[in-house]
Amino acid sequence: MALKKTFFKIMILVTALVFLSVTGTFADGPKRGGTMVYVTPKIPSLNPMHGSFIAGTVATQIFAGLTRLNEKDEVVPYLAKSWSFSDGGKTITFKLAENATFHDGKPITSEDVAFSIGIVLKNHRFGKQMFGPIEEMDTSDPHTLILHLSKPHGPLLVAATSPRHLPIMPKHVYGVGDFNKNPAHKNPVGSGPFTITDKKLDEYIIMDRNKNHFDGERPYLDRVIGRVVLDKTSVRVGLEKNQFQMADAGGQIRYRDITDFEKISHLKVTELKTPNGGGTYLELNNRKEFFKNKKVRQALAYAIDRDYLADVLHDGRSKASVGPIPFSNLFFDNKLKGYPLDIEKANQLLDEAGYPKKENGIRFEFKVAYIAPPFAPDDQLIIGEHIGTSLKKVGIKVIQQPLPRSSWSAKMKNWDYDSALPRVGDKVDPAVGVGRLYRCDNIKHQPYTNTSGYCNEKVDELFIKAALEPDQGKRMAIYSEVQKLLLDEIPMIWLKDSVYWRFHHKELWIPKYGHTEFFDEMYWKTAQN
Amino acid sequence: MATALFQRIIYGMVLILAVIVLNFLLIQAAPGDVVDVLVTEAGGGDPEIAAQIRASYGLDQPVYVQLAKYLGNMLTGDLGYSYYRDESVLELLLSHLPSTLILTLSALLFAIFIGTMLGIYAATRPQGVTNHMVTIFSLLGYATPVFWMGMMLMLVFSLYIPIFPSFGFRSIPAPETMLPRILDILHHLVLPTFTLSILFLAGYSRLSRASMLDVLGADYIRTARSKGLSEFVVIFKHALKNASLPVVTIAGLQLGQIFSGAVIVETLFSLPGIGPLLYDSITNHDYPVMMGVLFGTAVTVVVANILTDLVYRLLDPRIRGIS
Amino acid sequence: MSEMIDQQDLAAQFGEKPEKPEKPWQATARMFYTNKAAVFGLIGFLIVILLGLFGPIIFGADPFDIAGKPLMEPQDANPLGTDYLGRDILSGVIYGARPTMIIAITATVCATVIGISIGAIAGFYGGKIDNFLMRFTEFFQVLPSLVFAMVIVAVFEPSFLIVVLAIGTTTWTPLARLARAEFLKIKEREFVLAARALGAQNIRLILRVILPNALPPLIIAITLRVGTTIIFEAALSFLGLTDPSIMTWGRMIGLSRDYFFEAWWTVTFPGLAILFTALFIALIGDGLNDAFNPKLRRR
Repeated sequence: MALKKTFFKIMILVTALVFLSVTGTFADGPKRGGTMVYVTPKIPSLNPMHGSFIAGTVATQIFAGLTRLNEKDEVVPYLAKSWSFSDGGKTITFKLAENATFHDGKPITSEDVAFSIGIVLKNHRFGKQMFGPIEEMDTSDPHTLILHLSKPHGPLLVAATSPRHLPIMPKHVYGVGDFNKNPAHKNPVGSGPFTITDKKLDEYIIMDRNKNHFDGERPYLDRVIGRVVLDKTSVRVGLEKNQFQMADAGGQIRYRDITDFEKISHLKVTELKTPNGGGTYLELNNRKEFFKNKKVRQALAYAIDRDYLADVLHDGRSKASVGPIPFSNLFFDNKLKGYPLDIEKANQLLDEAGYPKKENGIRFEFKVAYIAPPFAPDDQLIIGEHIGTSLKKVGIKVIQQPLPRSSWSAKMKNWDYDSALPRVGDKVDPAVGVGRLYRCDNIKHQPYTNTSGYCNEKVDELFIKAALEPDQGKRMAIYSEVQKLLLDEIPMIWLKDSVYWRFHHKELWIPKYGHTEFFDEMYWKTAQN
Repeated sequence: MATALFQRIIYGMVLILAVIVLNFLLIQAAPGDVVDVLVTEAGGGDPEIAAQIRASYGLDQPVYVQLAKYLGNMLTGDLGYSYYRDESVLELLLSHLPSTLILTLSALLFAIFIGTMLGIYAATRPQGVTNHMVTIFSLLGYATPVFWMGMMLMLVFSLYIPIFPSFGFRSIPAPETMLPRILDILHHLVLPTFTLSILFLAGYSRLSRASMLDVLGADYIRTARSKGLSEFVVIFKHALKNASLPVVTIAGLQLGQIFSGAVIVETLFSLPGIGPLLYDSITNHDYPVMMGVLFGTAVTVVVANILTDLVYRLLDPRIRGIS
Repeated sequence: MSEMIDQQDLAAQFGEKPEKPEKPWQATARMFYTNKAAVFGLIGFLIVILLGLFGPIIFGADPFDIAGKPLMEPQDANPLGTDYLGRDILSGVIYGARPTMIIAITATVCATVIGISIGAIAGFYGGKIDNFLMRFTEFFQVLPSLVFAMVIVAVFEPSFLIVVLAIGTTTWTPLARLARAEFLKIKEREFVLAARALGAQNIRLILRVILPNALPPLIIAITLRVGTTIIFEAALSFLGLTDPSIMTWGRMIGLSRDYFFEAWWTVTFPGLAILFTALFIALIGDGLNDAFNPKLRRR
């Protein structure tokens, strides 16, 4: 039956290809061909388990995931042609595409997928959260993978949609020797839509269409080139001369540059609607004497001018945060008022809290730790300095503490900081991405957990209740309550919600849903050289 | 002299070892490690997995064990492995070396050539405008921050009069054939080379002026002149050789400083050289790479010192007599 | 001044110095003041120092305050424009004089103390002590000072103290070598031998007899080092290794690096401040050189 289906699909595909070669174009929709050059920061590694965002972007092109997200953000078949649940959700059976091969021509089997899950479990920083409940993997049929779980586990299917989380790796390559030192990290043998033709990781990477890709239709582009550019002026010049057709704001391209870049006539700037939002927060170490006091925390919230940050310093390209859940999240309560700028009230609260202005006009001082430039200065240095100028007005002295990433991370881990500026992703579901910052049981020695040491059992209860509640409307109500509660207690100051901007050629179609980084879905609407 | 040389080499090795050990301990004193960096980049993660990765990298062992292992590996020619870049340190060093070598060598040659020419010109015309210019020039060379100079050059020659690229080592895609490929790289290197050479140009012109003035007063030059040799021959054949000796010596001893300058210039012009590699390794706590660069630098500086010394002894008979 | 009299008495006793009736320091000062370039440098430098001392009082506005919109071109309200946060560049340049000079001078003092102590002891005692101390010095010369300082600042935090210590500990070696060379030369001079014969203690010989005579070249070197240190600190700032709470000129350039193409004023003016200050110092150094070594004057 499955074979018949596949055969049928191949027939359709062949017909389509014949049709395509005759007419040279799809009647309506994606077209094949062309090259796209995108701007990238330095690519640190081709190891698909490397933690950095940039390495993940490349891995996403070279490796295939198990499933995929469509334009409605639903999980759809990919390498796994179909799947079914049994045993009350504790057993999942994946049927794999039978024509699928790795870049070296060897077939992709269920054993490779099981091997990849094993690698992820051992090496991926979220491995346990994604695939932890898997107890047994049955690979007796090369095109069927049966997972036996200890309990039903929702995040698994979604995690499998991104090669960032689950890249399918050939066992015969990556299973040899120490994975961390595998020579294939220099010349990866992938499973995805593109193969690496040439590279110099500090300068460029050239990826060509994998002609044997199991997906058949995709990728549409013949070639994708990642060009390492570290200087935004060069990005601008390159975009203007059409040397690059795609670049993301953030990093080198600062918020203030977007308006300027927008003037380039053949370019379009698109706000990416990723399900993965987030923001930058002023995390307060709740163990510190002055931050234990709720009035002090509220005073800070009244004194820091978030609108100025978003509207002026970020040139209107980010959004002032209101509360703990970013505006882009489904569960954001848009009736919340937050803390408007009110210097008088802030002063009054600080007086009440027992921190009057001393003779030198200063109430107290604290440090703000962030990652030193050139790392994302819009989100780190500028915010740190802005907090400094804002709080000076109410008599609080802020000492800037820019640190290398490693020291910053270590300070967070050891709870050895006054305040810090973490950039936190909400990981779609607040139960996963937001709750982790506030729950008592997540006070851990690791960045992006509840390092601030805030603990309120009511908050814990609500987050747990929301995670278990199947009804969307009721979840909404519970999250609303959490937001109100956290806003009042204000364990940290939510400063800015991230908005993602991408520059691209007008004629280049890019996905605005799902992971937005699947280059195989992009295509030229009109033929380009 | 052979034993003296042997002693110097042994001593140089001890120095390098000491530098390596000190820096190893220094970076170990810093909070955090490469796993922390990776966790931060990934936006969090599981502490247990972080611990597992740490253990698989050997970062959970006591410092002295790590140091012993590191030194042991170095004896076998293994400079370590970067878990941030997933590449061996030696390969990383080698792949970043060409850009730095080309930049420093061309800047050095440019500075020595132009500097010596200016110095000679000024020395032969003590009352001329050039003489004053050399003085002013050397003062400015001392007083200008090299990166600021680079920025100003970029503003003028990349932005207002866009004739030179402000960024990178070559065009991508690079030209297919050999000659355009080389010309393309040279075109990219004009501004960085000029910026870096300014750092030394002034000093060299001053130095060669001084030694040229000394040499021009010497007896053999007077003899040469009295023989009726043309001024050009006198200066470029007889005097230049002696006047350039101190410049070459200083250049040899300054190799470390030139590298410092290269770190800044490469960072400013985003060249794929050793400088940015070092800078990235420091900010990413990628200490095998950092140690590798420091080791390479230390070896280069020590070898350059020994060689300079040797060359100097060979060229200058006065010193040969002393020891 | 007492040590001066001390050595002059001794020197006079043995007929070595002074050759002129005028005291040597006065002669040097006279030579210095007849040098127009040097006087220009000195006046310029004094203006920078006065700016550092009184600029903030006269000027008033805090350089960290927001003075307008970010990245505004030079105009009436902000004659030198504003930076990426909307801070006034002019007030940054004026205020910057103090922290910049404080860092430069403290770091130079730090390097001078280490360098001269080690050089003096090595040169004075000679033998094994000299050998050991010179090896120690060479150790610090293996790594280029900027690279070494980068490592130190990045390993710790870029605070005032760390920056000063990093510059101090990586730049003292030339001063040590210079001091050693001078001490080696001077300790064999007759007035030193005489003082020793008269039973002077080593510490007295080092500090009161030899050091004053070794001062001229050291003073020139130290003066020039102040300028070098300003640039050194700026280079560290350029690499992002700077304390944003301290408004040095280097910091202004370093943190505005991303904007210099569209806002040239953010880096140009602090850069000019560094350039001129270092230039004044270089002129003073040149003048001192000429004044201390009148016979070597070539211009």
